[in-house]
Amino acid sequence: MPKEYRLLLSYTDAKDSHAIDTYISLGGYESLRKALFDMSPQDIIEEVKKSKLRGRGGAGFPTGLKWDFVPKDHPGPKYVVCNADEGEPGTFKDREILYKAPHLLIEGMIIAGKAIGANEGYIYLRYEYIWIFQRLKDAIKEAYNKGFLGKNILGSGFDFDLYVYLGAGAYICGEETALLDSLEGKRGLPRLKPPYPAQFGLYGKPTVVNNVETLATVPIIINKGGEWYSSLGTEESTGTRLLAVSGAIKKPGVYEFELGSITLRELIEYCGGMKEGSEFLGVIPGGISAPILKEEDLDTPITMEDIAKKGSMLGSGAIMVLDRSVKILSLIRRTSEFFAFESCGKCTPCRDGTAWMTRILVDVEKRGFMTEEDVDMINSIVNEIKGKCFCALGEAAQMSVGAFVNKYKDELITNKVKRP
Amino acid sequence: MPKIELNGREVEFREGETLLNIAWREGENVPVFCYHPKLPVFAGCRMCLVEVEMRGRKGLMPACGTKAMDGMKVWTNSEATKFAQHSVLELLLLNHPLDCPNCDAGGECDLQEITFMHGPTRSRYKFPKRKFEIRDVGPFIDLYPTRCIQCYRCATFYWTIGGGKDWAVFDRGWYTLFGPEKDKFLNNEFSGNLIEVCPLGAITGKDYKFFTRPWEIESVPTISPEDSLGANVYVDVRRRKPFSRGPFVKAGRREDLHKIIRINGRENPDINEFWITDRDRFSHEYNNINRVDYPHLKTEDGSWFKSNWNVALDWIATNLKKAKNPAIISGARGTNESAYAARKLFKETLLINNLDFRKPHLALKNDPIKATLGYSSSNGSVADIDRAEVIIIVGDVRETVPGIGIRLVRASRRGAKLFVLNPYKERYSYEGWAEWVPMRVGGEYKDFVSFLSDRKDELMDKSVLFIISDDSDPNIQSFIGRDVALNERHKLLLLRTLPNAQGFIDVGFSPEPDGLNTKEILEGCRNGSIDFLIIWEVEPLWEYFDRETVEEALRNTPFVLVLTSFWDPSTEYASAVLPITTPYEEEGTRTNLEGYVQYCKDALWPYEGSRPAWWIFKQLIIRLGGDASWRSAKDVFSEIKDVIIPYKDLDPYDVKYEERDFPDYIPTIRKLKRVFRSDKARYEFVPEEFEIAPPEERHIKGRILYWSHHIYKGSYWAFRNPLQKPYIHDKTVFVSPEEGMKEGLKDGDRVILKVKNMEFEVFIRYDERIPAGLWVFKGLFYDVPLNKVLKERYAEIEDVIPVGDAVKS
Ligand SMILES: Cc1cc2nc3c(=O)[nH]c(=O)nc-3n(C[C@H](O)[C@H](O)[C@H](O)COP(=O)(O)O)c2cc1C
Ligand code: SF4
Ligand code: FES
Repeated sequence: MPKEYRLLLSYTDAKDSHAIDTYISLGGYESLRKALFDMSPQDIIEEVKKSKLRGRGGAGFPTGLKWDFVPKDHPGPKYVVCNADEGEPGTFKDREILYKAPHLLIEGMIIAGKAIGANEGYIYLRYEYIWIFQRLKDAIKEAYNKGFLGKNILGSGFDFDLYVYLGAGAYICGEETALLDSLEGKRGLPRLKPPYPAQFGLYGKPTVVNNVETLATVPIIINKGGEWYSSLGTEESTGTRLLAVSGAIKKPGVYEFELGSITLRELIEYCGGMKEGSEFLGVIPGGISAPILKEEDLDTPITMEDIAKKGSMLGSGAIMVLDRSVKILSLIRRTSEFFAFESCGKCTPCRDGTAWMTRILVDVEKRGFMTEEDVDMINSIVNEIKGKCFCALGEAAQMSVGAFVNKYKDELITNKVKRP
Repeated sequence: MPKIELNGREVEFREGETLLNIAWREGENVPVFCYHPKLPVFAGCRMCLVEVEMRGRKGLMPACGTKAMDGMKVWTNSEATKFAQHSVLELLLLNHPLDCPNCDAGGECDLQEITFMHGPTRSRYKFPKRKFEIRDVGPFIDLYPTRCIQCYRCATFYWTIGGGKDWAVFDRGWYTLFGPEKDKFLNNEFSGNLIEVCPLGAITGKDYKFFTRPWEIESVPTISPEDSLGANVYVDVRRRKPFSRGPFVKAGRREDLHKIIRINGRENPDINEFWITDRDRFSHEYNNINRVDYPHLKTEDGSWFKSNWNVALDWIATNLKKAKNPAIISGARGTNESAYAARKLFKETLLINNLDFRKPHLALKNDPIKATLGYSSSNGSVADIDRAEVIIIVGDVRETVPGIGIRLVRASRRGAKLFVLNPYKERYSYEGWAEWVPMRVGGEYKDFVSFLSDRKDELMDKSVLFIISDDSDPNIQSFIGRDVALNERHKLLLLRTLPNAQGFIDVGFSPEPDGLNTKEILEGCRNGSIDFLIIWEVEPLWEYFDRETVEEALRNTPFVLVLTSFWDPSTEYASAVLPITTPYEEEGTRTNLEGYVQYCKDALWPYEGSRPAWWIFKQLIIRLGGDASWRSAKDVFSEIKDVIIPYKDLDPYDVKYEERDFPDYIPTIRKLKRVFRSDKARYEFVPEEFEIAPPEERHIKGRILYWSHHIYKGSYWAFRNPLQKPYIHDKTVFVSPEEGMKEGLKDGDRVILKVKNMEFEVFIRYDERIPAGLWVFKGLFYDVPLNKVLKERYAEIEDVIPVGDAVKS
């Protein structure tokens, strides 16, 4: 039986783990000293590149590379933004860090600031985490008091200010450019890329947007070395990953595993197995945006590349285990409804396509079964959306709804029992 | 040169070009909705998706937002592209009500055209469509949100170009709704452009509502006469004058001869780019209202005799011949040709220099700009707004020449520093585009100078553009004129408050060298030394301060000839009234505030018997024995060219334009196919030494009645429009809420203002932009004769007596 590898989570174990003293006693802010005094910005970027750390927000873009894209000689301000919008249904891993080890994130952000030459950072916290808002602000205050934030940090001559911003509860504001617009006080619509945030981000200045987990991993990489970090996990997915496991299992929660050290089936086992008397239906491996995987794919190791090979994605690391108590039609309808509700309305395929699908699926759910025509219709709409959207929300909608319908097509169509 | 492969052909492109650019240039059919050549790229509608292969990866990319890269392969007609177009259209049409038969955009609708080209023939959508209510957002515009395809063109325009703050996007996804807040009127003066920007009929103009179809319309390219910017417009009419160029359309009714159906923007990058203000767009309905139809002569018993032109002109010429000291005042609203003809009548035939177009309180012997710069004109240009680092504005731009606002907003967005010096906060300082520097009424010059000296280090070594209206304090004008003459990096943009003032100056419609100016003319009329007064397209009783002098002057003048289009009050004092054409009925040229001499084509048939003013002056010249053989305005201009040096090389009658590669099949883009440009007059600035005598400062304590311009109410034509009435607050004085509260007045209360022992009944309206102590009256004095007590821009209020409650004006 594979074992957990608690790299990030080890900071959350202690009582009062959110307090700065606890964090320091665990060796916190040592990496910051190292980064400030012993390393040049380029050294930090190289170290992160060496670790082959990939973004934990969903897209999995190499973090070191992203930082390297920020123009080095840009006059004027640059920004570090932490994406704490965690809006992906099923995901609750970031809140573990935000709530229990905020200093890990703060330290990571200061290091990121040093690496790209930014003197200001923002944490964009989702509205639903309003209960963490105060804790984050307190943590930042503590860090200011200890001299880890503010002017001339620890006498190194580096300044860094950090602010928390509360969003207003829109899924699309997790998309990095929409997040930036929202942070600027505008309507959260994704921006046209290129230019990427690394060139033209917050207020038009070079900006790095990273997920909470990504940034929280940075201090560990600086501390133990990129080399060491990349020795964990597989060639393409290095390190460990927080997995937010939920659904019909006995012990749901946030687990941390070395990537590739465990398969989906083993994970379910590790979490205590399926609930008493429940029958496995499928598993969604990366938040609702990820297409569902069925029984036959359960032996896939949890790495980005292996899950991608099965036509799904590890995404935000939210693993939802579904059992037969879930009505598939309701599940599909609800998924489609979610995307239609959260679609920002900027682009036609997502705005109208998801809403159309939802209407059909609501009808189908009322009826209780699907017909061939319904499946064809959904597939046809899926095709109309596919590859035409402005951002990944529409594509996710199309993929996950399409996967549900096609993978459970036989059951849905033959399920004529309820036919009046 | 880098290359892409477009539909299998190799095509070269310039760095930074988008795929859409290239495809259109190559004549490929790429439909668009959210893309608009004059707006920032949005790339949301996905109509322009094309199949692209780059580094071995194929995919669909929006042509409008994708920059071409060397080695890209692009297909605008592959299966994938066609499927994308088909899909996007099917999805767009899900919610569209397909109410083309009663939609105003029918016939010039992008959605209609593109659906016919690429769309599905039937809808597979079987559910109820999303519906919104029709929204009334002011006197100009109706919103039909149900038809909206959420292309965001309107929001992009309104926020980034118009700089408006009151256009919102509500909700999201499929229920996205555009428009102002509930029950609010739009208050941005560029709002009319939304109609043109919207690719379909979700935003329609009230003037055009249910009136006609585009194929019945002829668009006449001409110039807006409303302000001195000279915005380029297309005037849409049903039926043109038969003897003007272009086909004579037989269809249509008699009323159509005088009816402008709507006005749209025309692109001229030097002047208005593409955008026109609501005043330019919506003031055209005055054309049928209260017009003078035929020459009218006053008989002995005081009644009017409707005459024909020959009789009238003969009689007037006889009287003019007898006159010892004739004079003419004007409002600088006519064409250059007419002004030149008037000049010729006076300066060359009658040999008298009594011509002036300035208001009496501004009619100085020494024009401050001419005295300092050497020529009375702007030496900067409107385009300088885009280059200046610092822009210092004196006066209220929004109410005088609103059209330059587009560039002011852009300058502010680009980071230029804008300052507005004005007694009250006007639009740009109120909305945060500029910093407000308050000026005390009576102490303007001092405040201006102290502002400049306070900020000297910060401002003066940058490139500075002064924007100043020509009716502001002459001392400030001379100060700026001198500064601009001395400093190469400083430029002046002189906002003319009268539409063709620059042209009138250029062609010599001025009392120089020894004539009487307006003030002296009125004085002369009053004391009887002037015995023949021509009032040409100006309403002295409504426009001039000191109404009593004006009235007395008119009463005492033996012969008053009024050239006007409307039965305005000064016709009561007239011995003869001659009907002249309104601007859209007359061919000619106008000069804008920076010297662009632009050709105005006549869009309409002249109303009944009215004639262009130059023709009347020509007849008088002939009858007085002068020489004038012009047969058309063009003939007059060729004479102007010989006489007026700055206009020597100009040829405005030959309108120049370039054609763009934009496709014909997208109606809203088709309008942008032609780029017009005009020629600029060549002025010579010979700066002169000029001493400014510091003016005495006057401070009024207590409540000040202050007069200011108004975009609609202050315009000779616009205030006559029924359409603009809701924005015109008749009989209204604006005060700050605190001041109102202090006086115990509510918004909308009726009060009696006591000024100089006279009483005026007005309504009070709160305006939070006005500082305490200031009571602002705007526009022409047709509703309350406050100019009886206003001898200049301001006067002291003695008492305010509340009358009773709100009957809202
Ligand atoms: C619709 C949508 C929602 C997203 N929501 C989140 C989110 O809630 N949290 C997050 O970290 N990233 C989210 N992302 C991914 C971000 O766009 C971005 O890739 C990420 O913040 C980059 O950080 P990383 O490189 O650290 O992963 C979302 C993306 C899309 C398209
Ligand atoms: S896919 Fe389009 S409509 Fe959907 S969220 Fe992204 S930009 Fe908005
Ligand atoms: S996406 Fe290119 S025109 Fe709308």
